[in-house]
Amino acid sequence: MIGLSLDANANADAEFNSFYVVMTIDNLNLVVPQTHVYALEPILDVSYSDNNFIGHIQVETIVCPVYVLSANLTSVTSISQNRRICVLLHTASPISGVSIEDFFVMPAISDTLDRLPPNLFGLLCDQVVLTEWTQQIKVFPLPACMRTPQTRLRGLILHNDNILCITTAQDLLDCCTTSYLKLPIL
Amino acid sequence: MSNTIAAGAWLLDLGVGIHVAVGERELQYLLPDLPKFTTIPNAPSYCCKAFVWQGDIIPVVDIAQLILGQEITRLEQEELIVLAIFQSNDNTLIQRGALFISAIPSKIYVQDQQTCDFPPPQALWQQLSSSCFNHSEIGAVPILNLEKIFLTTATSLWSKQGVESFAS
Repeated sequence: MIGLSLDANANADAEFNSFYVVMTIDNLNLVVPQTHVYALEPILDVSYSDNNFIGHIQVETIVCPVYVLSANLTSVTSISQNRRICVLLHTASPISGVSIEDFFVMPAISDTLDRLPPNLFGLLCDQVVLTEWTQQIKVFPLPACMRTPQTRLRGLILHNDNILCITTAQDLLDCCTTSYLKLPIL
Repeated sequence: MSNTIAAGAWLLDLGVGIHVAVGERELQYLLPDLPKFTTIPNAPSYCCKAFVWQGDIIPVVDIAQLILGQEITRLEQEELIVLAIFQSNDNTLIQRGALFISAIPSKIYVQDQQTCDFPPPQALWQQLSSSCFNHSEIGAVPILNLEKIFLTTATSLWSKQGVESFAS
């Protein structure tokens, strides 16, 4: 496997609430904890199929589905030329039902990363930045008027005058695999 | 000579023939230029844009789009943003939201005698407004309830109102 593998064991003593991955999809900047990312792969390693996911990628002995999302976090089956990186995400970390506060003190999951994590899936992105925010970051709740049943954001971050959207691997997997009922005005 | 007291308000032209008003202290700033918008995924289309202003993230609501249930196309010179401030019922911090408008706001004074029924769609205006007054030239002008607009989830608005009237 080529590409950058993120070894959580190496960061076992680090503060897990300061390491993030910023994934860009068109004009959308998504933030997930680095603990939700297993590896980064070049898009060339993705094999394509005509299933409900756009293709798959082999990670050691496992074949993982690969999805494409639009900037509105809806699953699409066509691939923009801007998508150049396949982010391998996993949902093994205890992320369901966490509050924004909990999100930033995510426990270490080095034990689960000693082996290949379950629920591994690929998401095609335009750009991926691995970042460590050393300064205190201010998390804004998503404004109430912007929330819908389809909302998969845990909050917003203001960083260098850019608005970043906080989400999780599980939320992104939900976006990839769920067909939402649309309200008429949406 | 009448003893009635006139309350100050700002009249907002939303374009497409829709006018609303907000209290005179609820309008904070008219942005000189359109800010750099960020589109928030899966937000309602009438409120999917946000921008950064003085270290805060400001959601923008297009009331005209919400009322008409369809996207509004405004000429570039007729697309303005006003920053509004409001406070929730529990008197927590003052919060900010922004509205799309089509012309520079004008100051008006409203008296109690001008109270009138909401224009159609009445049920939706009732959700978004605190009251309504009759303007001599425009007709019925709802006075926006900014707290309801910015602090109510889209889901709640829909469930209270019923989808049918929005879609019509």
